[in-house]
Amino acid sequence: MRKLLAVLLALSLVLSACVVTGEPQVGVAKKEQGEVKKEGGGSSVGKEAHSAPTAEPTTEPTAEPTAEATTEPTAEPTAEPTIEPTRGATLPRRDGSTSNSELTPITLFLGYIPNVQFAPVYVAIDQGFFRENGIELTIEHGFDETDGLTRIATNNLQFGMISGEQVLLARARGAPVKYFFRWYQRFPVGVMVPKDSPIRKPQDLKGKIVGVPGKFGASYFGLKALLNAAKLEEGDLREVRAIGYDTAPIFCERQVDASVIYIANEPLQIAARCFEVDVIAISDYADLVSNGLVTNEKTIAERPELVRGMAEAYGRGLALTIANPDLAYQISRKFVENLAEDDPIQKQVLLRSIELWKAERLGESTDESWRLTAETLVSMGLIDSIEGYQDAYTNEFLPESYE
Amino acid sequence: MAQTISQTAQPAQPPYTKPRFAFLRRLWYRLPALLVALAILALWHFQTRESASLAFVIATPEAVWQTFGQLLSNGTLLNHLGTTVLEVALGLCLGVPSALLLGYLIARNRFAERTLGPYVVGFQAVPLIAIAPILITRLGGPGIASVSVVAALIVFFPMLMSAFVGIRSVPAELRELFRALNASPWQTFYRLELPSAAPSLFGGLKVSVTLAVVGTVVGEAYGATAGLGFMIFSSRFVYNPAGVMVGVFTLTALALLLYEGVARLERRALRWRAPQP
Repeated sequence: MRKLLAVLLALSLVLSACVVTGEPQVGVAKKEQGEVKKEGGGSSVGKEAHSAPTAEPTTEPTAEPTAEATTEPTAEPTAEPTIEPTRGATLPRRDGSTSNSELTPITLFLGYIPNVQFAPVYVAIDQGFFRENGIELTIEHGFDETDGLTRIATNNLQFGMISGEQVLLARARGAPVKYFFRWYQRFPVGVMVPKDSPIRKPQDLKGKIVGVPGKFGASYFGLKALLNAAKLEEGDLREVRAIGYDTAPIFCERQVDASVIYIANEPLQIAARCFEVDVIAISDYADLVSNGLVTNEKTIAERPELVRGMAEAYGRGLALTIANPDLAYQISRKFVENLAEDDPIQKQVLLRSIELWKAERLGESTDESWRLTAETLVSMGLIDSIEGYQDAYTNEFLPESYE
Repeated sequence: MAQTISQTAQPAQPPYTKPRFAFLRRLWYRLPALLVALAILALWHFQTRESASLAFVIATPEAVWQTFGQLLSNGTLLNHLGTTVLEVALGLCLGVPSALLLGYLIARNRFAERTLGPYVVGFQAVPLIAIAPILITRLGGPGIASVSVVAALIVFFPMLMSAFVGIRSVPAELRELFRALNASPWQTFYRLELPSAAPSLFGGLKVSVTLAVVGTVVGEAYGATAGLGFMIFSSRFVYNPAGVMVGVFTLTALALLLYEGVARLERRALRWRAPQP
């Protein structure tokens, strides 16, 4: 019995050592497989693999990434429901030069669950924009953005849709991550008040009870930035109350005077359930960086074309969504379970989201917004200084246009 | 001679059982657990030293110790610990007595068992994530009340089952005896059922106190402003693994302390029982 226990203990120690030291090999393997190379209007992948000596087994480069693509998401015990890339794979290719074997399998981390707000990703997959850039995209949804960014930083994943303040927080702890495509050009969080409320501007929040999902996360961060902009302290409010993520019941019962919400969907839901509301958009007072495409420095250093390909493909999906919301909505139905053909609320959610994405140059970050985001984090005591904030983002991978 | 015989009849006592070696005996008793802890600590130390670039994922033991000192000295840790202890206590106060009452009822009354049993078991299968928003809303938002109720719900079922099993395990012949002696219901409960069910009840209580700690963390995940669970989540938000580990270790220590407290109470309460093999 003692021997059995000793063997079990030794096994568990060895196992934990493997887990702790396990260096993700995905990036290395894909590097061996070949870089994304653009040629003319299209692109091809696996140039190095194809130019390898003929003594090399020709099936090896394609077999490896395929195995990774199928095992990687399922190997994660915390993996959220995943949309397999088969939908994209069955589409007719626009660019005949890119075959299945030449595509680089990439998993994109998205927060939340499949939702019409991710329409640009769905459009880019559906229209074959990722494939044209040599990318076979798999979506992985997860509620834990922190976990997603940690996996990107450790190269367990290469890409994710992550908020700007998370990138700054992670970098402050030494995580080698970089933001390269600003999806939301306006911070999507606001303060919702009943239509008959006397609160019309941020200063009116003084002495009021403001609900937040929790005293951390984007909502709380947005509220802090709004208070900073209004020259208010949290102590000036009567209370900042954590009310959880299901805002509607508490707000509809007027247990709080105002509630910090995501402006694309929650005001619509509240209006449908109880009463008309007004929203004070935080982006009108503080230009904070919100969600965008993030990768790690290893991928940037070793596979810059892949990063460029992601930016271009996603940008094209975004541009098409903005130009044709109806098409984007119908495409989203292929990815979002139970999304009705003509759901007026969900269509409004998409239209409101589009307003937050629009920009003169899609994907572009500005120094001012990153600086303000960093300064807000400093004011919250979450980072020590704004030093190095400029290293957290780059615009160098954005294409000239998304034609 | 009689003395000699009685001495030889006793099992041979190893020398370290003498009172003056009590400390060494206790140390020897705890040694395997201490060695495991040391091995884990050493492994942790060397692994994190080699993975310095992963400081945002894994904290070194030194960093955890420093953070512990820092959070202790500025009062943050005690504040969160106090909230969690309060939530655990309230959760136990709510969950344990109600489980005991219902457990006793369905153990003693077949009609109650038939009527309530399926609902009790079915309710156990309801995921908390489905009912937490309702609880939070009804209890005026996330806070000590809602977290305590979540903890109470988590401790309820194991405690109810131990009460049920304990009361059902009372020997039938003893019940007959009490009936023959015209014992009142209270006497039967106090003199027969409670002592007979006590080992099972203490078993359930040991599980419940540790589950109550888990329950508070689960409750705090749905929204809270203080507590060790909140501390862990907010540390994760800022990529501070040392803060997470401090929260985890404090929770572990709390659970161990509560478990040890119940174990001592059990030893004291069940002194009348014959020593267990």
